[in-house]
Amino acid sequence: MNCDSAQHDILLDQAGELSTAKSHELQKHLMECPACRRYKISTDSVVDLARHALPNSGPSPESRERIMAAARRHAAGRPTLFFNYFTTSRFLAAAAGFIIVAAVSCLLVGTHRQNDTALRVSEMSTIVAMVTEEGTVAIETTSHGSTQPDLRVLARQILRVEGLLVEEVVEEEEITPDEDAPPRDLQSHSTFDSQPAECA
Amino acid sequence: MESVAVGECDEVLLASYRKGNTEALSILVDRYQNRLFSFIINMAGRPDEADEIFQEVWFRAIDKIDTYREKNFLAWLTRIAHNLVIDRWRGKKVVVSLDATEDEGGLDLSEKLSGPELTPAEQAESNDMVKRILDTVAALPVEQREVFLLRAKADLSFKEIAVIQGVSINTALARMQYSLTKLRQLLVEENQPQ
Repeated sequence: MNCDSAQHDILLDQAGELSTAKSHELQKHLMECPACRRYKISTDSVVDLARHALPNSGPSPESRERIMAAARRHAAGRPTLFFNYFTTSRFLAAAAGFIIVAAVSCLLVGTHRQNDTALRVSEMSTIVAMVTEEGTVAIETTSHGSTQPDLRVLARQILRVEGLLVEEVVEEEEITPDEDAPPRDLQSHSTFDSQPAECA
Repeated sequence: MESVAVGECDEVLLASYRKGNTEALSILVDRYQNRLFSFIINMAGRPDEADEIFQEVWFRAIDKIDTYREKNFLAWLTRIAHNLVIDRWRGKKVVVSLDATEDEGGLDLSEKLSGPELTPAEQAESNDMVKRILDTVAALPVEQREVFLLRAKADLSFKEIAVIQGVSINTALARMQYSLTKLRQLLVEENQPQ
């Protein structure tokens, strides 16, 4: 340790900011260096002297009272802990988050509705075409979305009421079962076959 | 409202005040008023101005207390005080002299130093010594004086002082060393035989 760094360390040590290892190193240097020893003694004395010499009074009682009055007003101005938590910045952040979520939700719902409507229109057009043009019913089992089974049931009910229901159903293409695949849960499929009561 | 003990740490008192307990803030004001006010008055010079700044520091602290997330409450208060003092200096362009403190009548510094055992001659000598120390501190460049006051009066660490001044810890140490050298020179002159 040289004298320059020792003088910095003397100040840091006085402020309690020196690590134990550094403090030991400083003590060792002070034992060996009379100049730094003198520097430390004079530094401590000067700080001590100035500490006592400089004005050391408190604020006026009126000043303190005004501060406490402001504190009481501030404390009374807080509606609840909930609103206390929601400071302006937090409120703005929460509001921005809500708007973003709402906007994304609207977009998603809008897209879904468009798709759903298109699907339904397509389904109904197919059914109407089958009924009006061909006079027979040939309902294809396809692999569309989840709304299809309900539509088919509805279509069957309409056709049955109209007397147009023919028990001719073009079944799905033969599917070679994958022998490695696990057995399917038949109850989970919403096809005509899974609703025998409706077919009768 | 639950009461808080005077010896509670700052965090507990702040949390209690945030729940609406003004007694907790009163304890904090009592705890730090002397160190904070000493720093302010030594920077500002005049007791009435120091009183104004002291109030303003607490008004601002109360206003921002909900967003306070730091470790050292006194360092935070001192930083507010530092900014207010700097703002006033910039606005008024005044040269602050600590001589004014005695003339204002609010502070009898000589009484603080001179004990009852001193003879009139010793007391006069002590008064003179106090005045010369105050003059020397007042004559320091603002940054150095602030470091000296923050360390000697507010008892802040160099790390905290560096944050308040927005400088490196080595700069804060160098400023302290410079101010100590000036004061040391004064003491050497005082003790030289006439």
